[in-house]
Amino acid sequence: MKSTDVVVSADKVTKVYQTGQVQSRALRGVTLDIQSGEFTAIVGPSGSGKTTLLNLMGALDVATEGTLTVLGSELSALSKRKRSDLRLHSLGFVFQAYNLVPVLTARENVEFVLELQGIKLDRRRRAQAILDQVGLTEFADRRPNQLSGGQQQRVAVARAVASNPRLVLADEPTANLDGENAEMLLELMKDLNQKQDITFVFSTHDPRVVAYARRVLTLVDGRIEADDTKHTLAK
Amino acid sequence: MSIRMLQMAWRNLGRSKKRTGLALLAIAVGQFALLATNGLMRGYGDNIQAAITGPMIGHIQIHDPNWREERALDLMIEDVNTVLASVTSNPRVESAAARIYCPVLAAPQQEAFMAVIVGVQPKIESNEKGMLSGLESPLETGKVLIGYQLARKMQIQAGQEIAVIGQAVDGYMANALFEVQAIIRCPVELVNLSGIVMDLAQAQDFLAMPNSAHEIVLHLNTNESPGEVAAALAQRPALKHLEVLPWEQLVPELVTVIKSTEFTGYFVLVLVFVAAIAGIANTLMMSTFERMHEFGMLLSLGCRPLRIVALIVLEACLVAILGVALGTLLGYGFADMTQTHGINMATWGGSETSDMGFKGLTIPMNIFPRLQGSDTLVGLVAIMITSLLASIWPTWFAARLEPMEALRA
Repeated sequence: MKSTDVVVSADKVTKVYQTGQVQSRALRGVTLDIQSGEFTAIVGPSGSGKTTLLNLMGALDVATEGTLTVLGSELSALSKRKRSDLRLHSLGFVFQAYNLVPVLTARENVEFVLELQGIKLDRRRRAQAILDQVGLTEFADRRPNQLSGGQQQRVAVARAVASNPRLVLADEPTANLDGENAEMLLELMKDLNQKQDITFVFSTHDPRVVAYARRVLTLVDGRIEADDTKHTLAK
Repeated sequence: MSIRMLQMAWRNLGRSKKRTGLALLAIAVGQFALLATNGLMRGYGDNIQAAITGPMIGHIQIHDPNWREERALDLMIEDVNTVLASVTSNPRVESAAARIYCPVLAAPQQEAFMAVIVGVQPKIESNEKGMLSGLESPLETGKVLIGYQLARKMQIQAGQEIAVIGQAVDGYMANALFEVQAIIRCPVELVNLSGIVMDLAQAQDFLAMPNSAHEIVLHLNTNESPGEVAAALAQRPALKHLEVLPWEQLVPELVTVIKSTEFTGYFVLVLVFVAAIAGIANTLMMSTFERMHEFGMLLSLGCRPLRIVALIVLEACLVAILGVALGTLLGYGFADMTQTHGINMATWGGSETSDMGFKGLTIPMNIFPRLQGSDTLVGLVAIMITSLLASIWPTWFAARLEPMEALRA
């Protein structure tokens, strides 16, 4: 895919959550395009709809109204199984709380995704190579509870990119990390973005993270308030 | 099902060691209860069968067709030596013992007591399954053995004489003085209570019934199919007018008791089944609801719900297999530990004696549990089915999880 291809296309996307009699409108007609190879931050105050937008892009949820197309697939038209396949083969996720499988080692966590993809051969070597790439060679055999927060998040990134996804979605990936670990993680993500042409979209409150982004979308009250496509890289 | 799934399921069991331990213990106790009950009941059944096929009844009995009902002295097996020769020629027959029974009055001094003459063949009855098994010195001609309870009642001791008065087969009065050789305690309740045991030839002479007996007790070389042997023997010309019955037909009520011991195991199995369902279901539900967020993460990675269901079922099966293994170890350990001395159920129940009398039989209540491979298998199959049933709700729940809902949990 060329760097100018559209990876995500949202047209008047609305998401309404219904809790009993109460309706809450998380997104209000969001329209945007994200091109392949972008390194995009979504910023905004709490409750502005950042996570909701990421979840919709990640095919974890479906929009109430509007059209959301990810990697050429209109998500509301996909079955549950097809959405699952899309997540497995084309998307990667990095969560704020790391969300590693606690009973698997760092390498096994990475291998697990390859196994889900049906890859039978060479999984161990491939997983180790990715862990080497994220600087966790020595920690491959440790379980998540034996790793620091920064190391766990790097494992999460390794797991997200293990399946060679086109798009990685990261929900506040540095929220639980100290400054040094947050920077290390951002360098890693930026490196993967540049070298492997993986599109990164991440939500954040953290100005250090925003500084790394080449595009910054500002969400307020479920609407895109600003789209700074000419964001100046601080790093 | 991949190795990775098995690995995850196994490691997941270690995440809540106490909960897994409790579930394991519940299953292990259930399997142990099943094995212990089956072992004890089978051991009890063995005791009953051994008592039946022991000295009193044997595997097969031969009588005059009306003897069992009327017990009349003249309902005899005539030409008993020919009949004995005929039955002992069957290769399945290990021993054949002819017996005479006759009610008499026995008087050691002034007072007379009701007693029963039991005429036996001392050589045959001295073997392992015989009425006189364990007798220190052979029964001498002209002497008698007295059952210990009758001896206590008559206040008689070895070396004393007793007068015995009865009616012979020819209708005349039969009476004689006999020296008591010994007081005996034997596995036949009738002999202990009222038996005056004498040599068969002496009893034949005393009761005027030469070459005759009331009963022939056969012991076979194995416990297998006494009915078939009885049917084969009944065809022989020497036994043409006689009744030849296997023990199952002689004491049908005890056959029912033996069969009921088998059903007790099934009853325990049902209890185990219910207890295991509760234990496993509780464990699975707790572990499923606690891991909702984790399942959401797996779904977000593209993991199919079926894989999560398989993981839960696998965890349930692993707990079941481990629990059954532990329970089986405990069960076999229990059976092994009790093989030397057995378990005396009578003394556990507060009784002073260790035997139970039933229809003249002495059934030992000291039980040696006996297990069969099928006991373990039945437990394993039952617990596995239970585990699968117990996992229905959690798996149904997991199969319908939406990634977002689960991630929010």
